[in-house]
Amino acid sequence: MDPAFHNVRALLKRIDALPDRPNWTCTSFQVQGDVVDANGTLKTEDVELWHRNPVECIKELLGNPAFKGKQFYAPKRVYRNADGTNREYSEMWTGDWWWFMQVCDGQLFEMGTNS
Amino acid sequence: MAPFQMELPDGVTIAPVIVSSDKTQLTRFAGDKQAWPVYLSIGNIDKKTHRQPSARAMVLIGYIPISKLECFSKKTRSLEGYQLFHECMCTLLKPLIDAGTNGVDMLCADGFIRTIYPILASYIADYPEQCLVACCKESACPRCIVNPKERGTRLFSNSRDPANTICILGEKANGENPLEFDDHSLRAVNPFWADLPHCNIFTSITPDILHQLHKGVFKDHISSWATESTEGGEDEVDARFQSMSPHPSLRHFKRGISLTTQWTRTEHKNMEKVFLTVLAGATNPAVIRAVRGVLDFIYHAHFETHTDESLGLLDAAWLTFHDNKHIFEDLKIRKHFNISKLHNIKHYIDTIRSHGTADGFNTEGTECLHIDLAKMGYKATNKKEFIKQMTIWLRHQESIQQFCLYLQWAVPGYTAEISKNDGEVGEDEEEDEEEDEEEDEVNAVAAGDEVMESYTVAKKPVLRNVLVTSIVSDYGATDFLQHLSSFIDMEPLAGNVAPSTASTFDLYKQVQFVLPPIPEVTSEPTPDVVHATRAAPAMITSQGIKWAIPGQFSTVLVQESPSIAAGGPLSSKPQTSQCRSFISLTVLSLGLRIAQVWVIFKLPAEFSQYNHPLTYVHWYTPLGRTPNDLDTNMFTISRSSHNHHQRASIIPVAKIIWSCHLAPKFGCKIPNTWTSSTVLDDATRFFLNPYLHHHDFFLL
Repeated sequence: MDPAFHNVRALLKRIDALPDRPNWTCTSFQVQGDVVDANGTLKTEDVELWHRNPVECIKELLGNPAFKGKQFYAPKRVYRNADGTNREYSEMWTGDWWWFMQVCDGQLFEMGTNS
Repeated sequence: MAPFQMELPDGVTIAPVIVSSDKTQLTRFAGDKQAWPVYLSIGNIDKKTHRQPSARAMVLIGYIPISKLECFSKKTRSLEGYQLFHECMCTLLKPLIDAGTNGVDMLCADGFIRTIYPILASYIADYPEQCLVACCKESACPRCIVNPKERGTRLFSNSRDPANTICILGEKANGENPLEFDDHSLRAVNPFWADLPHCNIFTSITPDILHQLHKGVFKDHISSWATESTEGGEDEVDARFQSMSPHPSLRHFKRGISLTTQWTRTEHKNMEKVFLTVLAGATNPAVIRAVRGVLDFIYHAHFETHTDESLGLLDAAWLTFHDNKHIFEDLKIRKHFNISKLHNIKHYIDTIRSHGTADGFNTEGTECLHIDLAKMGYKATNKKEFIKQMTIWLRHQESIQQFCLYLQWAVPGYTAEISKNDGEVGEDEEEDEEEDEEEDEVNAVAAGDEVMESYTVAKKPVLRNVLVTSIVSDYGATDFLQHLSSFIDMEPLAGNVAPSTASTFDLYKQVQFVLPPIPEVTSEPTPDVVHATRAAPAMITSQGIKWAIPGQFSTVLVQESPSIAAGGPLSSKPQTSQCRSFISLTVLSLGLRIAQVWVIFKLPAEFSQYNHPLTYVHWYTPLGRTPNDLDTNMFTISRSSHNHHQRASIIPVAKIIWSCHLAPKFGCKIPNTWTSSTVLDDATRFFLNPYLHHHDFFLL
């Protein structure tokens, strides 16, 4: 046996050298309670929130080449018949939320890059 | 007719953000190790990709801290828990405020750069967390301001309004006591969604089929009310479940249902599949109608594509329940219907219209992710300060996966050997049970000429050279020879030898079909197996006892072309396999007939050149145009006979559409001699069960 890596650390080091993913950060909160402890002060508790930037994550989801052809960028209204009386609903872009967001709130957004 | 589409001009691109959170246990047995992961995805990616946990279309963006909040007195603890959650979510989603207001340029998978405005569109959670997100009490509805006492009605109630709610909560925080605060059943917290641009959190809360429909409405309420309403009570219902006719895709409740304590979602679904046929005859017709309303609603809610029409049916099903629910009050089973799960159902149609169909918002998806991302991660830690270790573990996993994808793209022919954990726990269990190990399925080939066949059989028949006498006695194919001769007579390529009692045939044990994709049901083909295996007696071998295996003779839907149907099944002649490909689903029900398959065999070449497998079937009476049992809205049929002789014939396998489930008509009291394996022979009248597959439901 001739393992490719000397030890786990070497393997992890190599993994760490791979292109970066959105990084995790930790924000801690101090919660002040309403129960008094033995010293007569209010009890507190520290909690940790581990999180990463959702915008970076969205960027990665949109940019992931594995999702090529599986992404849609604009709402649609799909009809089963030509007179438009039997509307179809399936994916999120066929629904009203996206449609109204784009039509009604469209003016609210600054006109962006038009690909 | 091809659907036509209306499209908007380009300009801004919206990324509808889907957030999902679900508190979960990290260990199976030992208690209090919990995590509270928050997942994120975007509506730009299609549902099919979302559903594959291995595609990683859902990203873990954070772990909300879990604390028992022991620094608070018991009274304030739960409210502070609410507040802590909102503060964490606020921190977590803060970057979305600026991005949703000003847009961010992003490179998309198709190579274009767009200015993306990520906007929170949907929040997937179970009911308690929905209330947490909406800042309301758990007795209220997270979407509208319905009076908790009126949740059992179909009355219209106003939706909650975010701006208004923020205003009320703000006043409350300043020490005022606005009237609406109690009217709207709010809880005093500072909501995380207050600053998110263009976000209406209340409409973003999407239905949760698993917890609300399967567990909530069906299992916890309807099924127990209905059981209570039957004359024999639990014992009778159990007996009926026990003697239900089997089907490969159906779980058999060997011990009935009342003893089962741990329910999984597969069990709920399996119970739903047969529940109406179990009840039929045993209880008040109004109960049957109410249960049918609920079941129809659940099945419709599962549709992957809805149209205005099918949404109408969805609504009608719910109306059926409301029209008949009074029976539970009349029978003194229920005093009221003020149940949040019953109320929530009202919002299904709105959500489907605004956010797409409910399968995109299933909590089942996040439960798979828990196993993949959270539980596996926990296993890799030393169980101390595990959240931090889990984040590192996850980063490693993601980097490796990303790199594998890159290698697959960059190096042609490279396939990464990553263990894919799809997390489909529990889903496949019973299918394994039913699997016939002896069958040589790997070698199964499509026996097709020019047309792509929709069935597959084993490459070589499993049972060789079976005598006609054995076929007649062991397989119950009484008039095998007679029907075979009439089949060969109709066949243009008939050989010169006629089959006799000394002839032998090669038999198959099963044929596999593929259920055609129907947009409403599923976009992927679903496998379906038709069995014809005889019973095997119990044997004591050196490997231990081999239990007796009951014979399996599937019932199937057979396509008869309408013109031939008039002449009776005996006159049906073989058709080319092409007819299967052109099934038009709308006319399908006209030419459909039910049969039970007894023998699947190959015609030896000396009799005929016909090279497709054939089946010997027993016919059931024709289906009407519409279901003839009005309360259950199901087709009832019985065995078809002619001069006290069972009608039978030999048909090509290609005429079989798919397998179906016939449930016996139990009547008001189940005869105690019926057992699951013999019930298809014992009973005389049957229901054609439309709840077996979503395919059946759509068709029947």
